[in-house]
Amino acid sequence: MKDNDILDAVRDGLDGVHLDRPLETVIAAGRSRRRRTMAVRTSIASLAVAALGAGALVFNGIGEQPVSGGGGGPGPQAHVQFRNAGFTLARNADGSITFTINDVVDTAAATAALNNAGITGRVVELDADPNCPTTSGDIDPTDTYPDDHNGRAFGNGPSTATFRSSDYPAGGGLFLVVIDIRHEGRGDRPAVDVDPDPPTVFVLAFDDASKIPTCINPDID
Amino acid sequence: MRPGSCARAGKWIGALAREQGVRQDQAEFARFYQLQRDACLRAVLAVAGDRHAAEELVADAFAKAWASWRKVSRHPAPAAWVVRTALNTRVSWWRRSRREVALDSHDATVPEPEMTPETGMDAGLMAALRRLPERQREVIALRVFLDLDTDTTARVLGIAPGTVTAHLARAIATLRGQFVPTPQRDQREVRQ
Repeated sequence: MKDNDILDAVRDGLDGVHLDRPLETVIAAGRSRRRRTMAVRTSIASLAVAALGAGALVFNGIGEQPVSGGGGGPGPQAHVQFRNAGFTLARNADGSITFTINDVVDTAAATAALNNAGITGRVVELDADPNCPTTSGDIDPTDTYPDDHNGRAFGNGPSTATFRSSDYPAGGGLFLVVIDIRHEGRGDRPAVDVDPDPPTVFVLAFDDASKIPTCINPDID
Repeated sequence: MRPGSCARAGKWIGALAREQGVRQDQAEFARFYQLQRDACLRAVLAVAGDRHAAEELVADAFAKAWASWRKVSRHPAPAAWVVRTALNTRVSWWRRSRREVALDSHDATVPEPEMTPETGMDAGLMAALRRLPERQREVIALRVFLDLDTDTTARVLGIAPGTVTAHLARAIATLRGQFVPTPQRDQREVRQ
């Protein structure tokens, strides 16, 4: 028997197998999953608010020149380091860095720009990879800096954050999570069951840069 | 035009565009589902070996695909995404059940495939596949049931193309030893 005969035999052996699940059932399950994801995204955004309420530090960057979110770009005193791929990265007059989401963020480009600006860390989008094994519930609060907070809010607004390398200890780094519930309404794909809320960037400082996740999913299962 | 009517018209047009977009997405997903559901099920079944579990895994993976359709539809091989997701979920199930039945030493066993004609499975083939290492079964699943080329299979599995070729060759060699030609079944039959 030739190799192709073997493979044909394998193919033929399961010819009678069919998935009978109705499309409507699958779509309903997917819609339900997306709603749960949305709920978790909202709760993650609430975490930032809770951190503020708990007295976590808020960094306003240069303070007098907050950066507007959603495409406004940095203020006049900021030196734009990078403005491309859906985000703006600017170095402020006091040396801090302001990250602003303008559109769908190219997280690889954002990570590279962040690192080039002297900040150790990574930018990822929540739920970008449904196969990502790390969920928000897997982050051990003791791995964050400082240990007694769930996180530190670095936001000037929902779509912008300002930070500096002194915001994490030596060997540590920052984890920037882009939470974008508008993405399904962009371009030629109008929104599906989502509200047009602005995208959010949530920043966590880690003691150890090697513990910064490479991806993150909502903890919904 | 009265004040505010422009804004209302804008919202109405936006809502209409969203509704149209949902319909387009759903039609596109429906085509994908109709076209690929059987192939995905067969691929997952070839790896998992359990018809019922494979069906649940694949249906769940398709639901995930719909939930993230914008991303999945841009994947170079959306069907491979579904299969990969189903197989990853299978590993999660296994890990979860392993935690839940920590005292049971018989964890991670794959149940024997149902040997009835109603399942649509060739029982001998399933037995032969079960004898292959999991990675070889995954290569078979993607190459045979999804008809992926070597490079795409390698990307989906996160291994080198040469490794895919090697796994496929070993799988074929093992299966060849278990297939015997017969005139009744198109010159092929699986040795039970």
